[in-house]
Amino acid sequence: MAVQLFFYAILALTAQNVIFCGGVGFSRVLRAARRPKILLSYAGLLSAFTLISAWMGIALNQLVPGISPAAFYRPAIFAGCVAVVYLLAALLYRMFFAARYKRLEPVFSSSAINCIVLAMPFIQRVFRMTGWQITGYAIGTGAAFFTAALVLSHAMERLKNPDMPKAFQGLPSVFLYVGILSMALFGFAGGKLF
Amino acid sequence: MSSNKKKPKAESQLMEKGGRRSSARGSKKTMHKRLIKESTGIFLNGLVFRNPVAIGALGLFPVVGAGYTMQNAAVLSLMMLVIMLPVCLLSGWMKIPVWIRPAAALVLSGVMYLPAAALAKWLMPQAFSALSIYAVLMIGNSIILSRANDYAPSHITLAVLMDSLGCTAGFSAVIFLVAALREIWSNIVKDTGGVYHAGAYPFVGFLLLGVIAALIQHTNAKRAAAERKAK
Repeated sequence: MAVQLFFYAILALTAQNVIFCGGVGFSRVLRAARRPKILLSYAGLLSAFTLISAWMGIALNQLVPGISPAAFYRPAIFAGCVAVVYLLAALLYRMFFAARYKRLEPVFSSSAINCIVLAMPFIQRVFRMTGWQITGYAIGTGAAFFTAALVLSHAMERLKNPDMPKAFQGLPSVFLYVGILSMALFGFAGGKLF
Repeated sequence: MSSNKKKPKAESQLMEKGGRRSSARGSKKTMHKRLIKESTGIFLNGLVFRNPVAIGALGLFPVVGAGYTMQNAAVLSLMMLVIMLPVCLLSGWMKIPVWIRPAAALVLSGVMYLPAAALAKWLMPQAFSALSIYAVLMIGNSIILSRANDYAPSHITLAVLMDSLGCTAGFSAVIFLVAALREIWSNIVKDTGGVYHAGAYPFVGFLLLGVIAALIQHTNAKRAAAERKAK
């Protein structure tokens, strides 16, 4: 079990990296990279929500199997579940950790409501992962988010280099940089993720 | 110079909730003209000058992950329109606390996914099923959620409508352009004996987005310089 968990966490960091190999959740990574002071808390929150989402996905996939006529409604049901989890977490933080919530407020909703969190049940279904495997994958995805944001937060300053053509300064060069990183991770995956 | 500086502020107030009273000066005809000018500006900002994908870096996954065929681009653009318009309009009309708003927007987006998916499935069944996870993830598209959370609650219905249409048009323009270039690239590689769907890999999407973002940034810089010269 521990081996599976570790193996799938490594897989989520490398060959099945949803951020670089799937292009999922990249806009959140960019926003996290712009807030280096709360990056660790942001990534921690996102990992927790991803893990909850992965477990909810297992329950949802059992309750509403892919072959049932209700399967069409599954994405909407899951969006509702994620919304409820976010509200409960926000309420809990507002009541018991008010100071911390105030500090994390700008990123709280985006760490709970994003494509990485929403993708978990579908990844579990598509790759037919067991409970331990998806748990490892969710942890690995949280680590991948943190790593990507950390790398970008360091790169962003250098990508404002005045020697660069003006048109490419800032976001365009970030896209090119990420494209090259994504190409490097493509070497692990050897193909498309989805 | 000072009057020139004040003008844009008054124009933007016109589109904000409760701002019409403070910025309403002149006849009804003048007001109508200003509304049309402002609406066009909002639409053009979404389409080109503040394009949500290439300048705002929002909603990147459909472009990077799935925007490699024109059919995919068409399905995702259609879904964007069907989801974004009602979600933003309804979010603008709802009066709820700020911290509850993201959850409400997500639920609305999830509900609107159903007609969007049904329509896409009916019009382009093959392309819809080829999208797999990317069609479902349109629920969490950050363009939709950020506009519904941040823009819609503080602006009047006309502004929200034009912003939603502008952002959808901007998203569609980028995804169609990227998809066309990737499809051409894939065909060239395939015809010369290379791998199948060479342009479909996400890194190609990121690299193309970088070039498109640079093009828009260059256009914006030229536009700003021309405006400065005119003043």
